[in-house]
Amino acid sequence: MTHSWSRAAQAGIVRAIMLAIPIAVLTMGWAAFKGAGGERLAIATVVNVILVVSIGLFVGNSGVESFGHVAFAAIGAYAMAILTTDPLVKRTRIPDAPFGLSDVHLGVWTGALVALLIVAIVAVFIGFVLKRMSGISATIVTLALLIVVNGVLNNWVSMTGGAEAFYGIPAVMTLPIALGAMTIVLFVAGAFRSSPMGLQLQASRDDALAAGAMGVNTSGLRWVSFVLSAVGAGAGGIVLALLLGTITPKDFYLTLTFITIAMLMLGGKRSTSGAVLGVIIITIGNEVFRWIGDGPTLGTVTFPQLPGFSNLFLGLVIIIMMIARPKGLLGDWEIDDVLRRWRRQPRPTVGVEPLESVASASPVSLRADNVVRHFSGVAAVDGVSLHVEPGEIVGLIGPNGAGKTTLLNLLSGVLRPDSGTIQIGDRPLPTKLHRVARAGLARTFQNIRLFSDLTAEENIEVTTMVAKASHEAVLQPADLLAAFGLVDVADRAAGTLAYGNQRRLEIARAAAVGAHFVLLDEPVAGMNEVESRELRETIRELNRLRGAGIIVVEHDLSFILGLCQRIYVLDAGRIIAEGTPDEVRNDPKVIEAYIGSVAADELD
Amino acid sequence: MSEFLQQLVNGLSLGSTYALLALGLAIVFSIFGLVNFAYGELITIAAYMMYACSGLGLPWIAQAVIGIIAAVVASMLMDVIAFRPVRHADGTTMLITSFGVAIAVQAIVTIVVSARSRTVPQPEWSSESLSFLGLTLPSYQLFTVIITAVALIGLVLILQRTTFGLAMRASAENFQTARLLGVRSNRMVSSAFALSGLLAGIGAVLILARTGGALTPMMGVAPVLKAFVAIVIGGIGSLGGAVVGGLALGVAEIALRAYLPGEISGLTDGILFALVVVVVLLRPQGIMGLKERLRT
Amino acid sequence: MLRIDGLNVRYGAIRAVRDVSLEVNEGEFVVLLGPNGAGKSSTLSAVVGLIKPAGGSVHFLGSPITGMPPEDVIRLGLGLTPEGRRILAGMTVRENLVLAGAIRKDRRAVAADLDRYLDRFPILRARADSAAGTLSGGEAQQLAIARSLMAAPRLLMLDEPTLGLAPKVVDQIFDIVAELVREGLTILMVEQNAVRALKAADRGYVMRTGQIVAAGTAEELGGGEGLLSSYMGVDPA
Repeated sequence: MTHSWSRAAQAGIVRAIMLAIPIAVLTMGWAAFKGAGGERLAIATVVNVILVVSIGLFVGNSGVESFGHVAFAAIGAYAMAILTTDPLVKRTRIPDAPFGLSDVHLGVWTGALVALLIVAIVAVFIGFVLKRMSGISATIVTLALLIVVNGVLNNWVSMTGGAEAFYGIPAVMTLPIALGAMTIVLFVAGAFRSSPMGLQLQASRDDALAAGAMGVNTSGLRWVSFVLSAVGAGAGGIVLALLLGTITPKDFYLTLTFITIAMLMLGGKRSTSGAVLGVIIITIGNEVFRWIGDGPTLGTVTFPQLPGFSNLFLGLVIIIMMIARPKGLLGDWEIDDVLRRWRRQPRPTVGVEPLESVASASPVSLRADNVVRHFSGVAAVDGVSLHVEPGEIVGLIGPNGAGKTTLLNLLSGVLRPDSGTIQIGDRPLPTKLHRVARAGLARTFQNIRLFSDLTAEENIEVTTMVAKASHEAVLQPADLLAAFGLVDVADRAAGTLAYGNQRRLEIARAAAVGAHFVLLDEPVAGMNEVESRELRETIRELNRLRGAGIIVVEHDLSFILGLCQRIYVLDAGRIIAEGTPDEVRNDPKVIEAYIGSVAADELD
Repeated sequence: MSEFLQQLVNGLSLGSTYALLALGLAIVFSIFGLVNFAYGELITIAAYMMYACSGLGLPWIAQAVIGIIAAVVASMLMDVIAFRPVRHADGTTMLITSFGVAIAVQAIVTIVVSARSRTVPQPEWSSESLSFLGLTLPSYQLFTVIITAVALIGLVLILQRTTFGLAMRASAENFQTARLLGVRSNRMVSSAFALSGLLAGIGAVLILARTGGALTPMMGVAPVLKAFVAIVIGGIGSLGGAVVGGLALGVAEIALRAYLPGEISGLTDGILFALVVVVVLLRPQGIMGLKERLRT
Repeated sequence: MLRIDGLNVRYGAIRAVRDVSLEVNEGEFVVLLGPNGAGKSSTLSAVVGLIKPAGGSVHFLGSPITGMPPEDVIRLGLGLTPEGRRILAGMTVRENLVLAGAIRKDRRAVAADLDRYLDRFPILRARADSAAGTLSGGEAQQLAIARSLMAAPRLLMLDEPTLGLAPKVVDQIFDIVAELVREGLTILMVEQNAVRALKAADRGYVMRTGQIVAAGTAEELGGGEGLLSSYMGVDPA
């Protein structure tokens, strides 16, 4: 499956329709069955779908948990309320509204657009703050957002009427309109997930460091997805306001947050279909448990009244899901995956001839000059100078603690030197990590950082997308899969592959974007003789295909001696030797570094 | 001047409560890596247990003790039932699990007792005022400061002078190395949860004294959020930071409420939370925290 | 005393230790050598229980301890002075030692040992109440060794005790180890200074890419030349 905007749009449409139809059937059926009361519940359910799917757009793709999206629903709802309520009502309710808002009276559609715009603006600001954060810090900030917005709504009495109900909102919401809004949101969320942006964001979710090293602009993408999801949540809030006609800040606070989180977790935060499933199951479950909690009489048995019973249900759902299936019931599965099984085209058989070399037309060399880097006062890299010419295969060896990893991190832009320079050609190495790949320098990692939940093909796709932005030749994922012997496992999740395949996939991924240089960090760790010999061939193929210079950091000396044209030996942060494999093998300083000083005397 | 001093004492007393609560939250975090959202429910459980005891006619001191014991037990149960199974999951899965626990416990309390507000009768002396150094202070404030000080001193003594405390400090610094020295990991985790429950229980007693015994099923939510803010400001992972953060928060809250003009003073909570965002941005490790502690 | 059979250790997909078997008899001083990344530390970590082995078995004093958590393994008398020393920096030197001795029941013997080790490592007595984080590399290594000894182990595993230390301090450490051996402690040591370590030991094993490639006494292993070939492997293709 290739990710492109047109395919994404297609997927979005198909998914939206496939999900909207059952929801429409269920809700319309219920409304028809139960009359006006039923329609209210139906629209409320649709609102939950809009909210949960919107939250999932951000949370599922970026991997950052948010407790604060309900705040955007609140902003949307209140903006809508203030803009579209009849001034007659407003003059009694919020007579002192600033900016003359008590006299403003927009039509419902105009009001909705303006309200969404307001939500978008707030989201742009908050997203800017949030985009570089991940994990607990980000979640705390979203929680703070929820509380601050709630506080503002409760206390800015002149604008919002405070904690008391804001009534008089035109209660014009109907089920068809709600369903229409929902379908649009489903489309956006579904399309985003399958789009190039979505794929890159998912890569950063699986491994932020690797994604950055492969050229993904994680913070930018988080920002975009955050704003999109916030606007979706705002839309949900607007629909809710138009349904209820009367709102209070409490409607958009912890209770709604609990419910939406439970729904998201149940179905699976990564899947749009999962979000919908979560809403349906919990809505039904909630109603059932509330009915039980009201103390119904069944035949001769009267159940006791259990207020809050439905909340207990919610809490237990969350706990059980986190313990048993943190990825949710549907995990990554989308409803249109069913269709794909019919339509799947067989993979084109690739010819046996090796791919033509796509060596860069403007080769550059990599130079490090007197690079120094400290950690807690100790110089891990202490004045290292080296160079790699286009197409060269260079080895970097040294005993434990020599600074090889630090040096590699410096050369790949993961760390910045305290002093000294690193240049690609005549330009310095970019300071922002995601620009390094675009400059044609790629790397692999010692403990294999693949995007484990993405398929093998998708792993490579991420980098080919990035490669398009550079001016070098772009290799197709299919070609790279063939060149590195991964066609058979192309559709399997990268985390499930055998070890050798994982190593090769990491190299293939780097090959897509490493037009000038590929840095390999201990590529044969844990392999036996046969496997490392195979990988040596893979690296030679990479060298031929890309014409890229290759730097290999390794402990396996026989591997390095058999592969590299030149070798640098590092010890205590300094280069102590440099030369061909034969020169290095017999250099007494190298011997001393590896097996200790006594040996030098013994080996005359 | 005396007005200022009274506000200061008020701030310190509120801050002491926050410090105690923050410490309870921080202990579990530093050993287990979990930010326990359900911590507030321990307060609720302790308070409702005191209510139940008052219904049985037990003297106040017995109520307090039983309430605290209930919090300890509840905390250890939470560990075993809900958190051990997700022990190896990442931080956000654990955070959400604690969220689920919080909701479930609130629901159980609502079912067992009812959603209506109730009151736990407070002892006579807690609503009296004392004359102290020329100031007229509500006695519960002094009570809070004294109890917190005693609790903190006790905690410090345990941590510094006992082998158990030694093991706990080692576990908080580096769990793996502590195990290599023979510290039993399961026991440490249970102890951390128990200690956390103890502090929550004491916190509940102090909160009830301050609010005149008001009880609602959601009463634990606001304190846990404040404790959250306190540890972020003071430094996630630092026990000393939790105390400093709590005190700072209490004083700031009282200052804002007292000295901000009328309409805005209601935004105090909002301002305090906005402060969290500022701290997270500018100094993510808080006042006293260490950068490595943040489990991102 | 210690027998490892067919040990397998994985980090995710990486097979760090493959089918490793070795043994250490009571009273012996055995060294485990090899280039980095060979899996030596992983082997020790798996033995002491910091990592769960993916396969194979470990027996200590005749009983199986495979997969046992470290806090239990050390109570059986098998200790590890970890790579990088892993001092508890926030606690004092004395506290580090006291904690290590806390697993023993005989309070008086523990107190006596504390005294003895503070004497034997005078720098530790001088800094007994300073934070352990203020110690230099060599001092910290002494603390790490003393700490392991406080648990009264019957077999002590040392992981790269001279890593990052100045030559004079390296000498000191080797002297300490020699003393411990003379006193009858059984030792399994991973070391960078391969030739020197092999000379001091009774015998050694050489590991490369996760497997044992050579074993024997200093003579059997072929001295420096022999070690070098073991480290670098068969001539490259």
